[in-house]
Amino acid sequence: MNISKIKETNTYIIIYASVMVIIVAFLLAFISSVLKPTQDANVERDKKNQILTSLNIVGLKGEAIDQQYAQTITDVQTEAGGQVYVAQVDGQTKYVLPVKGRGLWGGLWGYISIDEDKQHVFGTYFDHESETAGLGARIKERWFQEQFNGKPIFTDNTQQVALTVVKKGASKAETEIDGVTGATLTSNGVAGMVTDGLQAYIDFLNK
Amino acid sequence: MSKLFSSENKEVFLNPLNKNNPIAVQVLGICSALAVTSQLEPAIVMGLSVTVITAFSNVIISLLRNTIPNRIRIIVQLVVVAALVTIVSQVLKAYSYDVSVQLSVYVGLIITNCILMGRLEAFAMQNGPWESFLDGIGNGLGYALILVIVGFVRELLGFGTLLGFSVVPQWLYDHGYQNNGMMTMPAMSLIIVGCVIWAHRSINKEEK
Repeated sequence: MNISKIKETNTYIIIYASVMVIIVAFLLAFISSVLKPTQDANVERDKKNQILTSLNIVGLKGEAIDQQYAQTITDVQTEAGGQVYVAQVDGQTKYVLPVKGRGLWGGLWGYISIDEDKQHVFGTYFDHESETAGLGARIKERWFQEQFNGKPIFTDNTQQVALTVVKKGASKAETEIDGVTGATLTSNGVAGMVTDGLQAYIDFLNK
Repeated sequence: MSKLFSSENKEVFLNPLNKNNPIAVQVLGICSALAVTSQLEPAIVMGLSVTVITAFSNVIISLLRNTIPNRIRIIVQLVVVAALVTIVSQVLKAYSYDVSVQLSVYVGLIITNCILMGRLEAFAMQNGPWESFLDGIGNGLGYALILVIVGFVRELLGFGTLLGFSVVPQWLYDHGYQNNGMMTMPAMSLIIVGCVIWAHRSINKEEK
């Protein structure tokens, strides 16, 4: 029998497929385990960078992020709504609250930093899992996040968070932030994340 | 060396850039062309990633081509592509984290790009590794070329920027010019791809 005949026998096909799958599995497992520590370190550092970004400390790379984080974040408290990072920025105390939400295609998350009086936003950082590039994905851009800086969290009722996101150009009150054009559903997701996320910390905010 | 760059090989490399462009002529890989072209930068990076992965999967399949059983060849091709895409995304995550975060969805999407399977099936299964490599690079760049054209038009008209820099002067806005929000919608990229195909075919009419 010549090779082209052998190639089409069931035994050859089964052996071929098994060997291929085993080789690929070992290769991928090997690569994954070799790269895992580096990847984990990157994820950890990225999280620190996100928290720093919400405190309007941006543009750091590599080791500088770890150093700045160690200087800035002085304590992590567990409150009713989740964890609260206590930060010192230019001698003032700020609190960083992690929030989570749902966008159009996948999860959203972010960090909102607030002033010591717990009435005003100091800075924000938002990120997303899989929002549309150029539309919903723009919530990750600084111009969108910086719109929140200095905005009040409450209007007059301090039991109900008023801060939210509305359609671009439709914002009337100080607590209404412009959304992203063409990304209404993602903007609504951010609105829900900010309002509900802060609402979950209401006991902490009123303390 | 002269054999490596013979006129046939040049043909293999240059054909997909124009006469046999994967998007404009074969109309493959349209789905990703719609998804990633609302801005120029993801379009460029996506084009380059597809180029690299098409080239290397072509080489691997071409090396294996005489051992692959006919009945499971599609599965073998799929395993090779999936393994390569996984490796690329893992390496990016470890050594170029920022890029990988920006691309995460697109890198996974490469697996489903019809151009890859199309080239493996139509070219790498019949040709040697070097020709297959050139064919992969050529097709990847042909794909990237269309993506960049569409991304360029959409970002310019939709956002007034290119690669994130504002290019539409402020005085135009002052005189009532507005960015066309429609350009940011995926449907518009279909229309632009249609226009590109139209232009391409009327230029190449006589060569039918």
